[in-house]
Amino acid sequence: MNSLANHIVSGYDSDLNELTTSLSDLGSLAEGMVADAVRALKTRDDSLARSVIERDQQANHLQSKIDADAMRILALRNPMATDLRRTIGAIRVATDLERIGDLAEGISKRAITLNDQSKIDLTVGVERMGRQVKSQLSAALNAFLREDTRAAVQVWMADSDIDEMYNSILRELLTYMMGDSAMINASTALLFAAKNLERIGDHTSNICEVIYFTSHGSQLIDDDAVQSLLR
Amino acid sequence: MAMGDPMDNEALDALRGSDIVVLSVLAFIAIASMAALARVPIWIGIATLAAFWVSIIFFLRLSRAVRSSRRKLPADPDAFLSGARFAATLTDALPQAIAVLDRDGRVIHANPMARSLIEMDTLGRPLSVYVRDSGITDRLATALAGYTPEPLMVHREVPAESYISLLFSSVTPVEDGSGRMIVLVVMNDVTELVLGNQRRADFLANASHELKTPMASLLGYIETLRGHAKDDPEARERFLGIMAQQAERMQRLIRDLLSLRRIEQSEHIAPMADARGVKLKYKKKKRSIVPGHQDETIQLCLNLIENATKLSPPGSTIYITLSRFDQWKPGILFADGRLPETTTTRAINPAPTSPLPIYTITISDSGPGFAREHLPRVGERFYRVAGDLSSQEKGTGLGLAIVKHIARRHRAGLYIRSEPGQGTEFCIVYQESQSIAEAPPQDAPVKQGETKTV
Repeated sequence: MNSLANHIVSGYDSDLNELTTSLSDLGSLAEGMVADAVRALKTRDDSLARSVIERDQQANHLQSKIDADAMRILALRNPMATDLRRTIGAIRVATDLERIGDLAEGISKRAITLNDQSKIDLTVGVERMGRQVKSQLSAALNAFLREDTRAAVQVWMADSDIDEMYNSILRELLTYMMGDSAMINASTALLFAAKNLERIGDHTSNICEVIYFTSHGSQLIDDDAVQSLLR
Repeated sequence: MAMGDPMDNEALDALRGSDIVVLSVLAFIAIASMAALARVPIWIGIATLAAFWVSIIFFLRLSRAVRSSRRKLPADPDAFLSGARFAATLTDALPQAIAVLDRDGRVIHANPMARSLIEMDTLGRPLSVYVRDSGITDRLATALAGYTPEPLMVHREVPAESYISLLFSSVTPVEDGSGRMIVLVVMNDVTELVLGNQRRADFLANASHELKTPMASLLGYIETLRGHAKDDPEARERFLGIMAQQAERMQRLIRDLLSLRRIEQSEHIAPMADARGVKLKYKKKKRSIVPGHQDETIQLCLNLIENATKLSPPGSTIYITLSRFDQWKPGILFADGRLPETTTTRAINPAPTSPLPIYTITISDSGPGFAREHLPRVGERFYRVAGDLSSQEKGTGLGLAIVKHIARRHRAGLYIRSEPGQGTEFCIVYQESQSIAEAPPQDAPVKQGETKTV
């Protein structure tokens, strides 16, 4: 256990660690917002939806803190190589996470709109998609904090599942809207929610790309294995 | 005095800022009083000077006494580290997952249980790398302030859904006067507790719904038979046939629920394949041992093979392939598959991406396949793609749910891809566990089973 001896660390190390801790906090906040937004949609829970909307402030605040911290590291410590990529990556991931928070807030707003209308059965698909998106996001955050590029590539590739789901929901909702014009209001709200989830999936892929870039210094899309799969 | 000199010197050397301030104040008072007393007799001046020196000496003695009392414990800079190290070693012996953190929340030690519980590979990184919750920072601060914070419940979804409760408490490993502390984090896996009730309720709701449907139909026919169909022998025969079918369906469902099919299946799968005119082809590239509960692993494979057998047209072949890869990389999924590479793949359970060797089992049939829109729902409890097909094939909708559940419990990946009209392929991704890599398999016979297929 020689790491015990290493615990007197330079300020540089503790700066980088604090950045990681803040990112982990922001990540768990964003994750929670997505999960609760989807749950609010499912259970028609207004107060849960409102709590998601309130948390967005917190996310914005954390993001600007991470930005400022990263900027300070860049200015004072002149990071090199991995550290430089890690710092830049922190800024980019924080932006993505903040956007994810905004999108979750959007879903919550739609959930509140939906609650004013009579109950429809169509939420099931959106909810399933939400669960999938949430677990993708969790996996991406795990990979980011552990710097696990293999997991990142895996999550990145699974994004097509989400796009697929979005398309099928879109088709389903369109059919309903064409069949019954009374459904248009509710269906549009759900469509927005699904679109937001799909966007969250895209931000999740962005995070995976950052993970890959931080470790390898090259783009994920140029990876041999990925290339051979995409052909 | 000769003995005292070096001590005085030491005391003078160790003069602190506060001492100098006090001494200057004394000197100032002395000078001021001498100036004030300049016109009084000389003995008063001498007395004042003497009083000045006496008070200085008194002050030096006092401050030395105070300082040495503060220094009662040796200021050993290594004492804290060795104390912390000792505390860390103690946690290794406890049957409980414990991590040791420093003041900044970095993990400086984790006992083996903690390492496996939250998949910790490196030390020295913040705890929030391994468990994410915005409450961690608060709890850590509370513990460091000397209070015992409320336990924190962390929900994790990767690699498997789990709930971990974290208890923070701070410890001073050595009273070395520095007041430095370490924080112990006691971790409990409470997944079963939290999910147990919820899952039971869900399952009962699903199962009772499934049982109610055939029951309602049975009751309906009984009602009819008692009523106007009483004297109609033709209708009676037909209704009794339907009732028998429904009763059988219920029986199958109950058997599935109780998982009574575990071993008996292994005997009926080959005859079943023969009866349907389906060939089974098993290929393995290497003798492989994967970690897992033997019965469950067998059931996992059998459920998939049975499904494949039911869905395959007569005369076709089911290919079962077992392969080993040195580590996870994109592209190993369905490496043995026979469907075109453009087929959409869906992860039912994502696979762990560890640097350890990976085993994949690919089961490939040439049945009707799943339509794209069904793929996301495969593995859902009681979900049957086309209801008519499944009832004709005598399924309960539980087979794949059981497969998914077993895969989850083993932290194995489960993937499906399917092309309508061409067939379906399942890929199970097992990860070689650390313990297997280190110890020969016969050392732990209970937890490991060789994956067998038919």
